[in-house]
Amino acid sequence: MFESDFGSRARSFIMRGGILIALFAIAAKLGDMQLVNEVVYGKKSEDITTRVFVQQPLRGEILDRNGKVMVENDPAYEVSVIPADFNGGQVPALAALLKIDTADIERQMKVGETISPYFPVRVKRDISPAALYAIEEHLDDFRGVYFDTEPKRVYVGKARAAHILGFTKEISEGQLATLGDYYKPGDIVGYTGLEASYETILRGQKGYKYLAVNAVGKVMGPFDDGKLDIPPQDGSDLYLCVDEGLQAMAESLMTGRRGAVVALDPDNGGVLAMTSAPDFDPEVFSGYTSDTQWKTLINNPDKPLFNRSTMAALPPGSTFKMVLASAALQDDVANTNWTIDCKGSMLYGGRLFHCNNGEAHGVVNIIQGLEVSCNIFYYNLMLKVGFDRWTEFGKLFGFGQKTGIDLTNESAGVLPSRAYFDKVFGKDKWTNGYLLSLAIGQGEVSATPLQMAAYTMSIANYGHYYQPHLVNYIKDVRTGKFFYTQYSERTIPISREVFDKVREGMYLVVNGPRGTGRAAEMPQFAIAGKTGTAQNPRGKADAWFVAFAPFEHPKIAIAIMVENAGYGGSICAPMAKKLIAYYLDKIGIKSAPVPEGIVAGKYMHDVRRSSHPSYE
Amino acid sequence: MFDFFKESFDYKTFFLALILGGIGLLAVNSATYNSGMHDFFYKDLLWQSLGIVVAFSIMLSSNRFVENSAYFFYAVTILLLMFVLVAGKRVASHTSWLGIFGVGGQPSELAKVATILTLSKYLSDKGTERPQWQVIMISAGIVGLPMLLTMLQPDLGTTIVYTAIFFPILFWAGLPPIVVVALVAPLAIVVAEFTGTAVLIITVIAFGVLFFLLSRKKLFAITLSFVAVSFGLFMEYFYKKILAPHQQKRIQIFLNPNLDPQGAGYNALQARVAIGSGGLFGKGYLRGAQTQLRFVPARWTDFIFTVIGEEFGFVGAAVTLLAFGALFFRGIRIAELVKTKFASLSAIGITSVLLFHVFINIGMNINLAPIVGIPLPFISYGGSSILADWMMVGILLNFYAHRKEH
Repeated sequence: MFESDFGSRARSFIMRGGILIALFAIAAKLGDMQLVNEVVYGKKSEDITTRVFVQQPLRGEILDRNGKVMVENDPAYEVSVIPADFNGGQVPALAALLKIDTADIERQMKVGETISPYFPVRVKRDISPAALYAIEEHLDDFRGVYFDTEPKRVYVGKARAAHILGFTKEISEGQLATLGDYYKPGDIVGYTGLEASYETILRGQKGYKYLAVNAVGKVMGPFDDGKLDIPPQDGSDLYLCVDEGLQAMAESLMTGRRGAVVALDPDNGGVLAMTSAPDFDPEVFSGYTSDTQWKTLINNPDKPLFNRSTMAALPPGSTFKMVLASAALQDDVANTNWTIDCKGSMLYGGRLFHCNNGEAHGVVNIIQGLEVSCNIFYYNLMLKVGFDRWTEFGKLFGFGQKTGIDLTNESAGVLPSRAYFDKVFGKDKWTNGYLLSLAIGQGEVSATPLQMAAYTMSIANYGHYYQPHLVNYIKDVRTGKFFYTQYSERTIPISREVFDKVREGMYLVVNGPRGTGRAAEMPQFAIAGKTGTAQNPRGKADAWFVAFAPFEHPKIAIAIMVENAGYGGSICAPMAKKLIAYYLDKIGIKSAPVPEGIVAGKYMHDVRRSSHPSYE
Repeated sequence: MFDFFKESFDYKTFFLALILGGIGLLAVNSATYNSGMHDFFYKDLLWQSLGIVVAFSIMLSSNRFVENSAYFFYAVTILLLMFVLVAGKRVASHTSWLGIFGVGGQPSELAKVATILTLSKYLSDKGTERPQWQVIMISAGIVGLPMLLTMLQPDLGTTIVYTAIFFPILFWAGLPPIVVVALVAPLAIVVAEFTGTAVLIITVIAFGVLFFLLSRKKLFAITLSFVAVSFGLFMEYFYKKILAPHQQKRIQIFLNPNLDPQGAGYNALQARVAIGSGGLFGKGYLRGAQTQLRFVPARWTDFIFTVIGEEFGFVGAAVTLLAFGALFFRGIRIAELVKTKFASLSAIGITSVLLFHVFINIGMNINLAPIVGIPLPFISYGGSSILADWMMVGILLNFYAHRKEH
């Protein structure tokens, strides 16, 4: 084909031309650099060399709903060593002053030297004032040792909010590999909580400062008048929905217990308080964390680092009964006329099922069933509603799914379905008897305290479900502008009449003559709630209580869970009462009783001794 | 034997390569002198010596030895490249190092040589009496396979080296100018895209004009121009939307190294300061403040030219460039002297690959080319690359020795 022009004279000429152009381009550029601009570069090279110093931005602060600061920054001192300037013989003396291992310093210096012996290597961050003064006194002996300040997280206020805020810590090797190019070894990053989920917003952007350094490594001033410098951009502040006072109160109520409290604002889904007990002091992680402190936290059997409010998926016990009640009423498989005569136990599938404590509640309808928390009634109701509808309604209330709260770790809990049981137990290997446990929120079903609070909120709201969230808005500290964060909301397709009845049942739990949550009753505020006592194979039952108040225009929805504590009505209900009273008072609601005719027997008169179901 | 050296030994090629290897030894010695990495000098000495032995062995082989082993060599290196992808050790974010009996090696260096020979063999065989487009497609396949495997490692630098095999060899084989321009166009558009949108528009227009000048058929020129414009638009999309952030960053830092003052920008800046401060005669051997004080990273591999620039100045750099230039001209000369088409095409391929390495490597030291990490032939420290360089010299020597045979 193109044989004719193979290796032709013209082509050879073009080839040689290409070589010449390439080499001349290099030579020209070299001439420009080495001959024309030699002085410029020579200055940079001989008299002064540039060194880049990273300027850490100030991490954004975190404030509560009233603008009360929860986390801010304080200066901490760190010690660096420039290996080339530092006399190796002084390593033991420096190590002794800083109370760290000689080998530690040597190892870090060795790593730093592979980059350049003229680069400062950080030896220890957050040193004690005593060490700072001691080194300053002997600065002559410690040539090549430098101090620098860096911001350190400081937690202020009464509330620790450890699981909300999370903590920051020096970046790990694994994070370096996954978090991207921005980070360098030694950087501080958010590990948990909001510090992690809002890391890129809180951290800001690093700046770079070019300093001119002379041959002996002394800083001569800014390089090139600082023209190349890139100033750091401070991180943005987070304004939370959290009420610091309520948070502090929840924390103090949970002291010495294992469990969680989550309080939501029914008007928007904002988290008013969220605590997991036991918690930890986030200050332990800011600055220097000793190995012993870390090991104590990690090895504590009560897992203080574990955020129970979003991660602990446990059977919610009878607090789950409103799901079944809503399903039955909405599907109209049972109305308030349908009653069960509770004799304290029932036989089903050859097994004896007990009501709570074997107590006989007598004839109860769906509302009274909630008030007295009658298991027998709800066992029978479950068989009427059926597994599939129960699962459907659980899904509507957000169970078995993450709420999407703005934290990095969240459990979805388990909402069993026919398919799920087939998978877990095998097809046809489970019976309807398994359903009876689900009816009362036990067995395979599990939910986090956060999910329970969101569910309570949506009942309080007549089915309006807001995505729970911690951050209300973000303030850009440079422009002073506010950015409101967007969250989803949805309406659960359940009629208002159904919610009226469910809410009436919850009202009676706290205020009814036989209510199981009477410990939460208050004359000035109409509180509605539901107790739960979920059997725990490891020790005493887990106590649950969910509640909202005021009954008419709810301002707070709350879920409290205490592990291995006993009855929800006696353990959790009094705590809910205190928290609700505190919060309503704080937002200026002095009294909110139930207006005449709203509940208190509106649907109760329907109860008649009608036909008894055949299951008994 | 004496007759051989009189008649068949290409002193010029050999001694030019030897000078460059010597410059390399000096530079590696200086770069590692003060840093506790000095055994690199002895390893370099070992590799250079081994390279010379390999070069002589190839030179003393029979006339058609190189040509006949081309396909086999290609198959072996392709298998090695595949093996590396599966089992390679990860070094500096790509997987090209292959551990064989405890010796690290980069098959991609050998694959370059194999690809030159294979493409040349294909184009010189009689079997290429096919339609032009088929020949181009098969040629692209021969080059594309190792290119793809190298890209997957991923080793961006070595990947783009393959373009320096494909275009010059096809050009030398006699491809019509319009086809050469049409083939080069996409590559030029890619480069233009990285440089800026204005440059991209000018480049696309320039190619349109070239198409109209070189083609007699106006419809054909219009079609080509349309394709060039579409490709330009696609590249704009590709660069902005598809390229991974770290790849974009490399390109951006090439344009403005200050964007990453701690990373690549730091390297580029320090390299420029080191070379620029060398002046006319340099600071003297082992006396380069920047290189000796280790301000320049990777100064015995990708940034070795800084040692030459700083310690030997413009004169030293010019001598190095002259040696390279003479070697390249010698390569073209051998391509003209030899009687077989295979040898001619191979000599062109070898020359252009070496030229490409030199231009990109020195270019990245002086802010003329992106920092893509390919070695400076004969000079950068690195066993596989030195060995591959000397293999190419050996092949040129073999061609010269048999230049009068068919």
